[in-house]
Amino acid sequence: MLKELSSSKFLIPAMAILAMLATSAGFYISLKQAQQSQQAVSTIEGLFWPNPKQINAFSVLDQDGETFGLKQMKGKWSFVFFGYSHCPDVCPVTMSVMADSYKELVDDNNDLQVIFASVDPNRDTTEKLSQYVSYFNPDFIGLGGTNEMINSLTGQIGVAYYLNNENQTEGYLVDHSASIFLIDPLGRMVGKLSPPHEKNKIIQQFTKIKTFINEQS
Amino acid sequence: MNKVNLLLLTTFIFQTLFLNSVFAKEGFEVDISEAWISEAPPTVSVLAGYANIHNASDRPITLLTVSSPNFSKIEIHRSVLNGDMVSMKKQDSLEIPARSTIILSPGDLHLMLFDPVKPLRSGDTASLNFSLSDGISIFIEAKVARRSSEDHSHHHH
Repeated sequence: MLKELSSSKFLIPAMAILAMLATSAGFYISLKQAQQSQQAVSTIEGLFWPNPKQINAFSVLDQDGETFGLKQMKGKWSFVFFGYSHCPDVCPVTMSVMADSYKELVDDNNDLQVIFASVDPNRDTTEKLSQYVSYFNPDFIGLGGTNEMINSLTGQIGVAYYLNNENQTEGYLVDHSASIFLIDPLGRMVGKLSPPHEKNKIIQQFTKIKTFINEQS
Repeated sequence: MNKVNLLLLTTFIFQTLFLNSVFAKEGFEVDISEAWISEAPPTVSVLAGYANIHNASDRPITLLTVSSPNFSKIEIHRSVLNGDMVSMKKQDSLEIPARSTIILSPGDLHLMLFDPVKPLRSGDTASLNFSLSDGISIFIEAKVARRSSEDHSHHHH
């Protein structure tokens, strides 16, 4: 019978059908695998996985006037929040929650740093930044410099900010992202924590994300 | 009931009505409580103030301005979250509906206090003068307090 088959006009169509079936089966299996691994990660709120964005070189000034860049992020878990010191409500509220969260996390996480990046570097001078962040916690880092410098970081993380003076209020206001971003020791943006910010929520999300990332390596 | 008692009762009723209307004119129908100012880093020139404003009357009342000898200017703002972007919207005035309370709290409505005449530390107080419609004026001593996680009463809409 085989001999008949191999020389019959059914050979090529049969092979084609088999090939298609094999491809479909293979595709289906890999799809199921992908779905499963997606299900595993989608239960962690705020996690960017797979393909977390790799942060590349950037250059800003810290609260001591020293250059700060990717090198200072590597090897650490960084919380990054964008705000400005002329913001009396949301920014201090967030910084205060970050201070409470940091106090609870730092003993078990000695590679943790909290960064306040100013979206108003013109008014948030090095001196002002230093006093601002150290009020919330002496370990906190403040970033500023010029708008260009700050853009080298906001552009990569995907943070928008813009001056807003439609209120014609004294000075000007800056509209900005209220999220807290989490960068891992490889300098990858692995998390985005959404407001409203609460200490327990931050601690939980950070712990889940860090555990997950450590399991991947 | 005899005539004397009737007279006493009537007098009592009218006296109560009269006193109520007197107190209403005096502004007892608006009550401001839980007023506090957040302590902030010493270099910060804009602070936030919060309070509960209760309108016990049966008509809406408007908060027009707030002033203080401790600050050069005070504005009313609302922090607004749109997706992940936060911005502040200045409120020209704040209406408090009849028999309601408007709550100014972190992440929501707040007073923006400009240029403190001296740095304010937790435990200090500052005088705030709330000017409302119908000529109602209320002076409050607001306490300065350090923010803590427990302050976040969840008004996030």
